[in-house]
Parts: sequence; structure tokens; C-alpha cells
Amino acid sequence: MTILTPKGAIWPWWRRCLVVLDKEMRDHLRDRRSLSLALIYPLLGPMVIAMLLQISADSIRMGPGSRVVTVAAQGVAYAPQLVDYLARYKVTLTEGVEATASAQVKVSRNPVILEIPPEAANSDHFTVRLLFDANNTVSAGTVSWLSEVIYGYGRQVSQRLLTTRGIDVAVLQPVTVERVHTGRRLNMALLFYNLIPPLVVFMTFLGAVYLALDTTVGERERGTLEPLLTAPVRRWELLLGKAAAAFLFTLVTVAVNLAAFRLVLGLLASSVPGLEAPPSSATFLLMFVMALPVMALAVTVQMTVAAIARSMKEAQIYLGLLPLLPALPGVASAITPFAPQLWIASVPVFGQMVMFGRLIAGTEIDPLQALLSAATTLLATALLFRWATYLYEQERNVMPG
Amino acid sequence: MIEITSLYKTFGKVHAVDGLALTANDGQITGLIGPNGAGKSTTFRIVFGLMKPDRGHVRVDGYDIIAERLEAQRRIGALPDVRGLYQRLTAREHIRYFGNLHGLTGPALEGRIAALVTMLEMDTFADRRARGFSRGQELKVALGRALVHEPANLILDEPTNGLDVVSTRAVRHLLRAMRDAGHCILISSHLMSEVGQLCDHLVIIDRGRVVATGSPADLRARTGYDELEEVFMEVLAAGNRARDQEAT
Repeated sequence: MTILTPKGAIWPWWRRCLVVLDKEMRDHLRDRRSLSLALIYPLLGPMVIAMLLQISADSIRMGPGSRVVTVAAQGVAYAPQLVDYLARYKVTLTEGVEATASAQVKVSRNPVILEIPPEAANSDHFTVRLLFDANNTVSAGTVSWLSEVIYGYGRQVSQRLLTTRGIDVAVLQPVTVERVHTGRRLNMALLFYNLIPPLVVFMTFLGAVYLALDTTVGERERGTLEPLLTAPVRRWELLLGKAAAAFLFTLVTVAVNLAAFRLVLGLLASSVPGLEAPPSSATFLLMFVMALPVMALAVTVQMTVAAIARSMKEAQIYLGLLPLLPALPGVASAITPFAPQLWIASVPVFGQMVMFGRLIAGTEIDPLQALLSAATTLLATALLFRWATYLYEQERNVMPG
Repeated sequence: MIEITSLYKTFGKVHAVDGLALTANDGQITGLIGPNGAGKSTTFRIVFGLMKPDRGHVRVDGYDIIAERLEAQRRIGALPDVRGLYQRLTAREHIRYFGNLHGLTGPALEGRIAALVTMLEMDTFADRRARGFSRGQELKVALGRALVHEPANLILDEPTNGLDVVSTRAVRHLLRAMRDAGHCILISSHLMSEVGQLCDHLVIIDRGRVVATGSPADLRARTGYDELEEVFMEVLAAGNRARDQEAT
């Protein structure tokens, strides 16, 4: 009896990968969870940042000294000259604090209270007290500004006293400091913009997490992996097809995330005077290109973790925490920016995040460092993908139970 | 043709398959039967290329399932005991996906899918997503998936489990037609009546070993029982007696 020949053609590996990719895309474009992770979640970061900026708009719109500061005070009548001086710097004092003891209690009602002692009426030498809660950042800013103005008043008084005694005013301050800011215009908005890189990395590791789970450990748990593995496809081809689908979802997630940052923050900047505009669209586009290797790594990490996990629930726990790990150093970097160094650039994900920070700050990045970070990230991706393939070749990782 | 020689597979201290050997010839329906835990599913998983044996070989039309896995798998139509459907794909998309994985495309594939939809009586749900399918409907889709590339060798785990009478008859008719066309068919089933009606050759296994083999008529004659269920019980009892004697 003649042996029946197989009907199908032997396709090249990439065509088999495309078949898997096509199926995963078709399947997950019908899934609300995958779609909401890719399209809705990336909008949350930009909206939160925009909301925080809007709340802080008063502080951002006008820097210290350019707005009227009203402070509750006690003993205003003792120092009319100080009161006049403060008024020149738009500091208005309102009487209404009854006593020092009660003032402590009312700190929460009046964020800052200025106490002028009675001796101010008879002497140039006196100590004013500023009562405030240092945990309240708005109060701390007001106190900082108020202290500076009062020190200015003190310097004016000392100059007057020295002049009346025939002493050169310069004796009082032989060395002076002139601060020259060479960066972009100082603006509180930049502090918020520095949070963009870690948030983008967070979304990169979150965007396709459900798809990565569903197509690996989910398939195993539901029993769809077993029939699939009876098809004449190599394990790495299956994995590559699934990873390609996860990559496309991540790509969309990051694109939506970056576009939303540019759009939402741009709209806010145009409606709030004094708010520094977010980086240009070209900067965001450059970030998107630089994030491509990070997306590949994120997908491979997700698939590897899913292979190790024994169940969907276990994988969800691991992968729920995963986006935080690469994003946390970025938060530290947002507060204390790292100097651009070759070794930092060579650390996958972190290297890109530091460079994103520099792009956001409007500083140049070294193309060599950008290439190095892309190369090391892709190398890490390739090594991890090889390991993931090995894991999927182990029957304990593909058989249910 | 499927040839299994000296197959061994252990899970820890459990010998799931313990030196199993059998041949399923072309143009024949071979039934692999045995009690729960006899090693049928493990044997099938090794034949499918899902598991590696500790020792021994499986050849599908001469291709080794380990060394030449893809060539062997191209020649297999597999129906594992886990049907496993994608909830968001339609029945037709399932069959198309597996057709594509086997290198089929275009009008030839669509024609084959249409034929399977008619053959397996799937017209009413072919374009419905799999969420909510009955067990019978799931089985039909899984069968369609296994048959789409017209494989020379069909390996079916409980091929009529969950089907109604009409569909069961249709599947049996299909399997006989494929046998007559020269396909090699290896099935496992718990339904002795089905095994008796369908199979040309039976392999009874217990604790990972073959305890009896032959045509249903041979086995009936050897044991002296007419009912295949009695034959099965007698063969298992004889196997146990032989093992006890070996032990003493």
C-alpha cells in the first residue's frame, strides 16, 4: 500500500510565525482585557500628570514673588516698616491671630503665621517667628520666600545702621554669590515631566502583559496548547509568533502613551500661562524609536516569566509586579538625574530611561550611548528568548497539571 | 503507519509506559484500550511529539518522532483528550488556523474546510465563536482541526465521547471511509461496543505494557467470551495473574 503524502506545503519558518501572529492578533483584538490594557491604560499616566499639574497650577503659573502672598500675623503694629517692606514684595499680613499659644493650634487653619515681638516697636534688633507645618509643601514654599524677604529687610536695616556709623556697607558682605541658571527656564512643570520616562517604561512592561499571559500559561491552563503542539511547528516559531503579537500590542500601548503625554500636556501648557510646554513631538518620536528594543525585552521577559509560572494566577502575581521593577530606578532618576555615562547606557532599560530623562530635560544625548543601549537591550532580549524557548521545550512547562 | 518499539516513560517512581510496543498499520483501525492509568494518554502524547520517551522509538511513516518531529507531525492528525478550543475564534477559524499551520492556504484550504463543516454537520455553528459550545460541538471542531490536512495517520483519543447518536454514526462512517482509503487510524476508547464495531486490530494495555493484541475475533476466540467487555476483563485478570506469578 502506498503511503499517503502530506497535503500541506512546507513553509519557511517566518511564514509559520506569521500564521501564529495572525491568529493571536485576531484572537486578542476581540478581547476587551487586551484592548483596554493597550488603549485605555496608557491614557492614565498622562491624565494623572496633567491633573497634578492643574492642581499645582497656581504655584507653576507664577514663581515666588510674582504673586500676592497673604499671611496671618500677630504684632503687626510693632513693626510698620517691616510691614511696608513686605508689602513691596506682595506679602500682605492679616491680623487675627489672638495669642502665641493659640497660634500653634491654628497653624492648621492658617498655613503660615508670622509673629512679630513687642520689642520690634523700640529696637532694630528683634526675632520674628514663622509658625508652619513643614509637611505642607505649599507652606514650606511660602516660608522659604517669606524668610528671604525678611532677610532682605534685615540686610537693609544693617546697611542703614552701618551707613549712619560711617562704615562701608561692603564690609558686611565681603564675598557675594551670583547664581547663573544655564538650563531651561526654571519651572515646576519640569519636575512632573521628569516622571514621563518611568511611566513610559511602566507601560512598556504592562501593555501586552495579558496577551503574553494568555498565549502561554493561559493556553497551557485551558488545554489549547496541547493540540497546538501537535502541529508541525517548532517551539521557537510558536513563541516568536506569539511574541510578535505581544510586541505589536506593546508598540500600540507605548505609541498611545507617548502621544497622550504630548497631547494632554501640550493642551494643558497652552491653557495655563507660565507652564513650561512639554517636549516637542520630535522628542517623543525619538523616545518611541529608542523604546523599541525595550519593548522587545519587555515581551520576552513576560513570556519567560509566564513559562516558569505554574498557573495563570501565579503568573499574574509575578507580572503584576514586573512593570514596577524597571520603572522604580527611573523614579529615582527623575528626582536625582544620573550623569550620562557609558556603563549606565549599557544597562538595558535603565540606559534608555536615563536618556529619556535627558531628552525630556532638553539636553543632548550621545548617539554612541543610544546605540550601545539598543545593542545591549537587544542582546539581552536574544539571550532571554533563547532561554524562553528552552523552557517551552521542557514538557513540564507545556503539559497541563 | 505508526510503529512503537520498546517505549518507556516514567514520572518519578511511576512507570507510565513500561516497554510498550505496537504497530498500527495503514488501511486499518487499531484500538488502544486499557483501564484508567494504563498509559494510553502518555503513549499518545509521545506519539504526538509532545513528550519525549525515556527510551524507545516512535516512527510515523518511517519518520522518528524525536529526530524528525516536524516530518512526523505533518503526517499525523491528532485528537488529544484535551479538546482545547480558543473561546474567541469561530469553529471555521479553528480549522483554518490548523490548516495554515500545516501549510494549507487559499481555495484548497477553504474547500477542505467547507467539506469538513458539511461532513461533521457543523453548518449551524461553523461561524460562531467557541465560547458556549457543547462538548459535542467542541469535539467536532477538534476533529475538523485534526482532519483538515487529510493526514495519513489519525490518532484519536475518545473520538466519539460527547457526541449524540447521529454524530457518532457520522464519525464512525468517516473513520471507516478513511481506513478504506488507506489511512492508518489509531484510537483509544472506553466504549467496548465502539471498539468492537470499528477496530480491525486491538491492543490492550495495562500498567504501561501490552497484555494482549489481535483482532476482536482473535481475542474472543482466545478468551472464549463473546462480549468484548468480558474479553477485556479476562485479559486484564490474566495479566494480573501473570504479574503475581512473576512476583512470587
